[in-house]
Amino acid sequence: MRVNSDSTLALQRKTGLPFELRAYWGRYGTYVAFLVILAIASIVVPHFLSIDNFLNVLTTMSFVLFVTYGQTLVILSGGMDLSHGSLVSLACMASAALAAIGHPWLGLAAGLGVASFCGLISGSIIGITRLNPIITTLGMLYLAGGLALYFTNGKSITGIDASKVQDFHFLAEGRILHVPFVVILGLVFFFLTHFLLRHTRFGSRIYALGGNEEAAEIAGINYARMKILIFTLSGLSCGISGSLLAARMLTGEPRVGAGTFLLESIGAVVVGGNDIFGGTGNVGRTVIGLMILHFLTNALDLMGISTFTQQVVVGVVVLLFCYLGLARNK
Amino acid sequence: MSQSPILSFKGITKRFPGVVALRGVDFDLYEGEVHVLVGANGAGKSTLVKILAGVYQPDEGEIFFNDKRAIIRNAEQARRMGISIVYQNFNLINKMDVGQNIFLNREPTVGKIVRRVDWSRIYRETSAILKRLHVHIDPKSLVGDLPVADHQMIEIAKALAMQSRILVLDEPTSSLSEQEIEDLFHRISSLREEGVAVLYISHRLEEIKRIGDRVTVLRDGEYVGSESIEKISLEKVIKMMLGREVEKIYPWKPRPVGEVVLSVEGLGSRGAFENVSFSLRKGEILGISGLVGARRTELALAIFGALPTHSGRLIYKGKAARFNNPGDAIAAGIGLLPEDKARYGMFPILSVAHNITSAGLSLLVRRFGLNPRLERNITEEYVRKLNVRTPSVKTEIQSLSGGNQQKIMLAKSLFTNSEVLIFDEPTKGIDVGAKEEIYNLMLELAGEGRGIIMISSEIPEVLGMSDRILVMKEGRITAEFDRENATQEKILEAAL
Repeated sequence: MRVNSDSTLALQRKTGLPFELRAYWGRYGTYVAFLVILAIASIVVPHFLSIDNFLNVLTTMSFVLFVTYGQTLVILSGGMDLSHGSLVSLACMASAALAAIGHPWLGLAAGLGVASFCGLISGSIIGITRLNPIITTLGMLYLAGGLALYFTNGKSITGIDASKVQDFHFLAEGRILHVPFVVILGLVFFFLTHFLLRHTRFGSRIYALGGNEEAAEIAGINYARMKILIFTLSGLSCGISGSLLAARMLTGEPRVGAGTFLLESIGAVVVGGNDIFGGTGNVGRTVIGLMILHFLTNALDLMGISTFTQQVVVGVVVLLFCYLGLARNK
Repeated sequence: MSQSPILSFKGITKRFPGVVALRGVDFDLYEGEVHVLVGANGAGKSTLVKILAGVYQPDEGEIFFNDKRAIIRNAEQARRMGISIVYQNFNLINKMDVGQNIFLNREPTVGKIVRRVDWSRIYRETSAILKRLHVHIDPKSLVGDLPVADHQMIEIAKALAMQSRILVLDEPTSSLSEQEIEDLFHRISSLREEGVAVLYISHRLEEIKRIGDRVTVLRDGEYVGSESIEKISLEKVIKMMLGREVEKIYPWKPRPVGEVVLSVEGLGSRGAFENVSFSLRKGEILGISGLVGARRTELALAIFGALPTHSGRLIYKGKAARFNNPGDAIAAGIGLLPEDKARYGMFPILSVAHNITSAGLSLLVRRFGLNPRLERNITEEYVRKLNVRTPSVKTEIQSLSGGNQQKIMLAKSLFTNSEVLIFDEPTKGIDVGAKEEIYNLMLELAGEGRGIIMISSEIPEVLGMSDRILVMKEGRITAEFDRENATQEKILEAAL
């Protein structure tokens, strides 16, 4: 449609929401919804409103948080990374394997390195051959998932002596002034990601690519280089999560990422109200999205609702937020 | 303009497989002039621009920049030389704000170790540039929220931010209202005073006199000539463009017209058009003229059931009809050949045959489902009848020329037995030869008793082909003319 009012009209027809409400929801809806969920849960759910419970939720959440930062970069740039679960598993295995033979810091480096390398491969394929990111990372999902299982024949790596890797263990389990270290780490990386997106030319290029690939390239943005960088960072984010998991469990678990990691990494971005097609959004929204998912699950947990029912509720919430989030995809 | 040109083309030739797009074109551009480049579709205007942009390399000839021989290898180099091109379809990012767009990928940074984007400088400079252009746009508003006229100004602001010395505007007024055009011309004039060389491409002849200093005419890839605007009449320009008198390219002949096949009564679609009424007879070609943005396409879509209406009704073959979706309209015998074929008409990677039959698959169903042999036979006949130049009906439609694609869109509508055909910009982007074939086909179809609605922004085409002409402006019909009474001036007056 050529004229602006037309597309507004078309959108209104599609979403069925009046324009004013849409605009309002687009800007503040996610935050309001988050506060409403917190407020209701605080009143209705016993034991929900306590510092310990909040720190608990934030700690569990933090292990996923890094992955969602990576996914935010990818989705804002107009792609999607499906390989996250497998990369987390692979990084966890690599970290644990070296930690088990007494080299936890080498293990951390290996975890970060191997996941970044997988991201680099995906990014190179996407950037150079222009293969669709979803297809490429779907391939990587299988590939890295297979590798994670291959070296130990699917068995876990155990027998890491906690007393020998105290510092490494501290990364995941330690506390500074009662605040879990991972939460602090999550906060530090939040600011890093935010800075990257908001205050660097790299960030500006990410939004441009997600907004209009063709126009971005005409402006001289190097598609291949951007995709390689973005997916390598996305891999790195999985490396951080995976290595921290190894540090927490002191075990290499080849299926650790297979469950909720991928779903939550995409889910958080979407529930937070970022545009699934890229170009609009920020990492703050992603964090809110992940908090909504985790605090909701926690509240349902405390109410004694079964995991299966929880999943149904979470599914409804995701759909609801996506529908309301349409407002942003102007 | 006694100084030497900032840019000159000498004997530029560009060939594509099977076509010579430009043949020995000479062309000079001076600082501080507005040079209008005109030519019919397919005359080679866009090829010339793409050479200037570094997208294409000429096969023969030389380019001189400031009297020195230059090769423009790519877009980046063109930009470094100070050449900015504002394409007809803008290259803006709707989801980003004005400042972000203007400084995209050229953001100034501060800080030595960590280079931060200097957003405050970006918005400050954006404000300054917009002020220089006398436009009131908030540098922080999202481009997608702004009207199209502003997009044009933002593109120009982008060019200014790059310190461009050569500004190429490709059909800049095609989506602007009269007031906006006036504003744009003011700004172009002040740029000219600053010494910017403006290459202005347009097929709107009435604009040449208003804005241009000199005019260069291209025809079928050949350089016809350059003239000072003061010394040349519009009639002369038209003659140079077409190489013959206007009437002769339109094969219109009088033909009998039957009863009314479709009446539109007070049709309105919220936000698009209001109270539109007209009727179409069998065998009639009804031209609908107007500027881009007059909502002619929306009217076509509404008739075709693709856009909801809130008032009025359609009477089709004597009965009130309601098409809730295009499927209903097609089944009833309405065919639409959309303007944006690539988006609404074609399946680019499917074969010619599949494209023709795509809107009427049920017609191919025999006892064992779809019958491929029947499809091949039928489509081969269409290809022969419409004189489509394709290696076979199995060829992917995207590999054919625009004119042949248009014929296949026509075959698609004929396959579903359309009795009313709506052509939306039927000859947009196709060459002169294919145009004449399309015109002949339209006449033939009208001769068979089909009713034809032809939406066109090219006034000569509307004048040349229609039995009757409606003019639309901002969602309303503002005038109706018989063929005998219509003139370019009258149509323009009703459209502006």
